[in-house]
Amino acid sequence: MDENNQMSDKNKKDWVKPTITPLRSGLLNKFGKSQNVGWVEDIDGIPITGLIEKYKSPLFVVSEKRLRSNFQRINRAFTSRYPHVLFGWSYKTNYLGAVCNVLHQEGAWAEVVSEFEYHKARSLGVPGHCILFNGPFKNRTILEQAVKEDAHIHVDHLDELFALEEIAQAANKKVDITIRLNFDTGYTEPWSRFGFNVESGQAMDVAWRIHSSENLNLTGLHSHIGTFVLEPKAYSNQVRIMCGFMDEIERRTGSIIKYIDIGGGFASLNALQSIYLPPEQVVPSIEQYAEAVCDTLLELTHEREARGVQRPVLVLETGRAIVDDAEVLISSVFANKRLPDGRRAVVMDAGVNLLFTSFWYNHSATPTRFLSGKPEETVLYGPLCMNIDVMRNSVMLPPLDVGDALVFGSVGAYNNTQWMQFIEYRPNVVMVQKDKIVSVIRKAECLEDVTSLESMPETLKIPFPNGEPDNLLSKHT
Amino acid sequence: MKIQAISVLARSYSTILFLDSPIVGSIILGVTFLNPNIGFCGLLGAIVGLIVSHVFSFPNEKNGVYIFNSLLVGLSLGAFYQINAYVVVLIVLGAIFTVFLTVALQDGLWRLDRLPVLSLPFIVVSGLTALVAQKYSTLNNFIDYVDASAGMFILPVDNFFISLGSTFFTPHPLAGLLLFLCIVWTSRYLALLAVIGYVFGQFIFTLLTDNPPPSLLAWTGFNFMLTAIAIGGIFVIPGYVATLTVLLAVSFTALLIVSMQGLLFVYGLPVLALPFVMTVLIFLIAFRKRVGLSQPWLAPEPGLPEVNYEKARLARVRNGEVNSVALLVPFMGQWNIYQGFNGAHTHQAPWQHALDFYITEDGRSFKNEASQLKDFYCFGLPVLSPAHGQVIRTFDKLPDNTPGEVDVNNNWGNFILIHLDTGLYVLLAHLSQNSIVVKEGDRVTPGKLIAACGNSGRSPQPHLHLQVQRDPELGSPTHPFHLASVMRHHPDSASEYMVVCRPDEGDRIESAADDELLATQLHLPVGRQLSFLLEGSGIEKPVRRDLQVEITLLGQFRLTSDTEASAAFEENNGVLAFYDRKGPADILLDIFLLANGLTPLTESAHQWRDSPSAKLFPLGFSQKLLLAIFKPLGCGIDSLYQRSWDAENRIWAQSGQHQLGIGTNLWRAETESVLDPEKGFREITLRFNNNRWHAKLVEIGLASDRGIPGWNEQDGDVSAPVVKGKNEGAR
Repeated sequence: MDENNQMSDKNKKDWVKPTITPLRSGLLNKFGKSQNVGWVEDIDGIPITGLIEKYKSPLFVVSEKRLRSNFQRINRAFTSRYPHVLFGWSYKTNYLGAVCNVLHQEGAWAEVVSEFEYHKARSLGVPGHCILFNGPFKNRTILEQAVKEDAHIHVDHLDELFALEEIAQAANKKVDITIRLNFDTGYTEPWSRFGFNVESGQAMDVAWRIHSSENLNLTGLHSHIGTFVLEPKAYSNQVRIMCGFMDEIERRTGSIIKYIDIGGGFASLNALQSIYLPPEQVVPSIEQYAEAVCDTLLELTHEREARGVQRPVLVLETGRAIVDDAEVLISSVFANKRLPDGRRAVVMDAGVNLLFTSFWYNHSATPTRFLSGKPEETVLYGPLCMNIDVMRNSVMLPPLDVGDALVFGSVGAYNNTQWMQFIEYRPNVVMVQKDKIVSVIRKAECLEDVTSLESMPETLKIPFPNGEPDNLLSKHT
Repeated sequence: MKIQAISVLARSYSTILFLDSPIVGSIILGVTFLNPNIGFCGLLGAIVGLIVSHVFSFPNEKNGVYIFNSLLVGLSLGAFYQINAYVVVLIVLGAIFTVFLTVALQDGLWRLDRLPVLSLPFIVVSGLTALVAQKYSTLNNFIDYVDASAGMFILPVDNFFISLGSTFFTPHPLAGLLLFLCIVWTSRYLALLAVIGYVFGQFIFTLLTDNPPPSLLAWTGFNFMLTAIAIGGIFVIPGYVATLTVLLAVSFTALLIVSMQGLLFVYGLPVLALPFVMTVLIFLIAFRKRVGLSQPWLAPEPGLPEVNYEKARLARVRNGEVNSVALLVPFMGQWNIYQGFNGAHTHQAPWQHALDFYITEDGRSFKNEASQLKDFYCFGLPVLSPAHGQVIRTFDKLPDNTPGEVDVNNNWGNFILIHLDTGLYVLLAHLSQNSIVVKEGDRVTPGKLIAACGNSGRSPQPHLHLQVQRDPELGSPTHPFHLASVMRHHPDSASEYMVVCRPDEGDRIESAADDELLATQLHLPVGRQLSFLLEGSGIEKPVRRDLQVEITLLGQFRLTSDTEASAAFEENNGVLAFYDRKGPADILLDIFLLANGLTPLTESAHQWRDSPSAKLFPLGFSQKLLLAIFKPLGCGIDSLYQRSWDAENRIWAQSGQHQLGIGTNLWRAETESVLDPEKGFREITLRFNNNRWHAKLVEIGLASDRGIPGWNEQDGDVSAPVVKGKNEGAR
């Protein structure tokens, strides 16, 4: 009896939610045959259902293994092609303490751009002389601290230079500084708001100005040609221009440049909304970037070595390429909807409040179980009460049940730093470590976390000082 | 000029006994005049040799090798014939011919296998002159062999000294005694070898002949001594195995003496030094063909055993092995060892000294499916020159094998062969097609980009093959080498700095990058003068002392103290290494060498070991005596160095713990060296036996050279910035 029942259960097809697909007139779909979507059940061997059960949805999950192997791969790509390479971990990309310290343990220095980030790096135990201090806004107090602690300061404008000179003079110190440059590589939009322009001669004037200073010493050059740069040749050109400028400075002022910081901006395997082809086809491998940078640098510094001057250290501030695909966001379906144009829509429990980058990326959204049914164009909305809260405008997914989880991939860069506490609490962030240990690296927020900084004037302590207002609504009903 | 000529002349006498000293030579010159006839004939031959080699400007005319052969020709004629006009003519002609023959033989033998000419020209020429003199029947054969009445000691001892004396055709116990004292004075070890060689040689000799010709042993016994000295001490680094080899060589010499005597007697020719020369040449040629690197080791250059022993001891400590060639890591970044020395796959004798490198991540050398070459981590990565040298052959036209394929027809694939400045050859093989960026004839320096890692030849997956070989042909036997200044990475612990590294299969290594600050501040250019204020026990008040960098004729850099004590140093391969301490006792130089003798120029070096010479310890007389008795060839101190950056004072603090165990005594010393990122060697301290010495840098200068004006940076207090000319009046 029982067996028969089981048999019939097995023979019975699962119930599949009905879908609506427009009838197309036999023309080939330009995306090819719609494929069945794959799914992921675990992250580094930890079942996702278990993670949701324990740490609730939504949930950010960082893979320590992936983070380390990403760093090691990028590190190897450069160190096997150039003798002196240094990585500065770009704090603004992801400054969760655990993430930073994984990368520091791998040998990266800290690259910070503000007073807060400087403090954060110091509080993590990074010594001042292992900090690269960038950015256009460094207030006097933090500059003084940076000079005192021998941080490597990258000067953005003349006013900062003058401030530094005063500070160095007061401290009776000769301070090594780096200047940020901007120039046109011919490939990317020059970021002319940062640093000093090379073509106009401004940068050379600054080099002379530093040379004439008793307390400053020009030892480094820095530039950053853009972000998500898809053309490795842009970096060849950048290195070429910077080396040319380095040689000119050294020849004319006699300064010795110890390092060249080419910033970062290497693209990760993520789909920019404006790019048509899939990332696997357009994003160059890190080895291609490394080859473009190192081959040019080796060639241009060959003479230098023959002269007996050490080749400059190559400083990289790669952020996105290291951390992006080492973190995912698990989010669950809260409700299903049908839009007036026929498309299916889903309300998720995470939106642009947590996934800021979904404004410009099409983050992959992968189910966590096998989904039966036909994939259908779906809109993924977030939980915010705002029209712009769209996680994916259009993604082919089979029907989803309430409670089904989706894994949003490559969310490690810029989300944990740019997320906002708008309407919602920010969720747990966990890290999967060695031996399948899961550690919470940032606790979910609670009301007290959000309100603890507020203070209430005495007169505003009570919302209704004259007693609760009448319940108009109940009266009317 | 005259003095130099006399010195060369005197030294040529001492060279015959492998001692190189004008004073010893002068004593020997005197010894030969025990019989004025012999003494005069010898001197005549020597003078003719000196003049001829000078007039014809033969190479290395000053090293005495032409002269001592001519000298021996003169001595031999003087020993056999009473001097007269005919003999003088014979001596002059013989001496001239000897010089020419020496030049001819010397070059040929050197090219053959870097062999010394020894007294071979003398043996040939004296044989010829003897044949000529036989035709002249009126010539007075004057020697009555050994004067039996000349006995001074007991017979065996007399025989020993007579044999030694006959080296200079003066078979007299007194002559032998004086010569023996000369040897003892120069090297106790050589004297010991001479005795061992003679005793054992005589033993074998008596075994071989039941009825030896009279006085044969007296006239030829010196062959045993010279063979023992050459094989046991001069050309081979001393040791137990070398001593056993001596016994073998001496037996061989005995055999040759007996057989040659029979052979040459037919023509009325004396045996002379022929057995010694043949034995030494045969042993040297045979030893040069050895494949392994076990004892006995040939000395890099002939020299006194005490000196060679110290060199070899230091080489073993610093290079792992005597005669091992130092190379730098030929790539950038971290690579793994695919196959090490004596590797199971292809690194078998005579190609056992080779390293294969590739890159693995999590145990795999490739990503994705390994279907394309670019999936392999190391494919296409830059390959660097591992040494100074000249590119002599390149080939890069073979295609890279697709993964899994092997090209057995072209074993080495694309390759670069570099002729090292030290004479050997480095081969880098399996390079990528069309990747070589140097041309044949180009000079390369360590770290120069030369090619890209590939998969050509007998290579199942992309890797880099590195070996040192003896000849320029592909496939010639390999020679041991090691990698210098290496970081060895362990999967789960801190990385380890190694001055010398011969990695094993599976190891992960990387070049230890030079630190620019350390390298520039510790750099010692020629003429650099470091003035220290020295104080400590035995020094009444602080005294100003100078160390200065000098360069020798052969291009060796030496740090020389104002007492003429000096030590050689090299700044190669990421370390500053001092060696070859010479000259009188000098506490400043010795504490400098103890504290800084081996100083890595990379910041990654936090701990390392060295074994400087025990002579650097400021020992008292009784301690020195103990050392001389227990370690006659010298020995090393067990030194452990540690270095850390002191961020507060902005200095590197380099400390050394030194231990020396002699018998039941254990002597300990501690050194501290302050390395300043602006001033270099700033302070040195040595603590030993409750005594303390301290030297503080007070001035860095550059000594003037002819044509190059010198200058001094005066600086009373080195912790303050240098101000030029600040204390000019003080000097």
